[in-house]
Amino acid sequence: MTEVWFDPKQTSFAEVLAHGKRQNCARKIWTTTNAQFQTAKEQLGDDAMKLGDEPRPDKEPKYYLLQTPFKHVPMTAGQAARVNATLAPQPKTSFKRFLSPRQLRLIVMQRRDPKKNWPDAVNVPIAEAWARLPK
Amino acid sequence: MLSHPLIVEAAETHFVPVAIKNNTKDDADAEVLAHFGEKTWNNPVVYFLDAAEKRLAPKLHDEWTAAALLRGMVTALEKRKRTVPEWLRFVANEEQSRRRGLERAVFSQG
Repeated sequence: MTEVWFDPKQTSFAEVLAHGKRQNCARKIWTTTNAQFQTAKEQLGDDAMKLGDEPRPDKEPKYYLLQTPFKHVPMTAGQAARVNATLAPQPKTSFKRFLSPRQLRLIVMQRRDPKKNWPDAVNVPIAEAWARLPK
Repeated sequence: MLSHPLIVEAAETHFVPVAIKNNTKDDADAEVLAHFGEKTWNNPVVYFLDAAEKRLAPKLHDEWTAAALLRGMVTALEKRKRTVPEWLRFVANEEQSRRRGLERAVFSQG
């Protein structure tokens, strides 16, 4: 399952759904508004549902980040999602597009000194994760 | 919003950040405050200026959010015809979207 957060001022639910169908990952959908439900019902029939129970989080959210030193880099939620995607096989773009020079420098520092106590930053708010970095 | 490390980085690397206290008397800070016509003990404001004090983005005075500050930074850099780093524009858009309100939906392959 994939939970998608989107800005309805930037893209419509119909566009998100169409993209999901093209990627073959939207055979079923759980909607969170009546407007979403109507749109999804028209396209997916009974495979469109209203979200009831909260989905259980993955045991390894941001899987690719977790396998690399990137897991120690404080990021915004949007950065983490994009950088995670760039670390998957056959990425469409480079992680460098999304990270600031100071964030990129942290990767270099971690590679130089991997035994230092670098805390995990995945799913930690960026200000909090930054404050935890070793001095 | 000034605890956001990426806002701090953008301010330190793309601007010359200057903090002026607004609760002092008869000192340089009070002079600057008077120069810009700002009141003492008022809510904080943020100006985006060039060296000639030309305004590069609207003054922030009623929206103290990361989204507003980042928007001001991007606008100021664009006005000055500086390249806006992609990471900064990305984070500014993300904060703006979050501020406006996100929608969510859950998809399944099976």
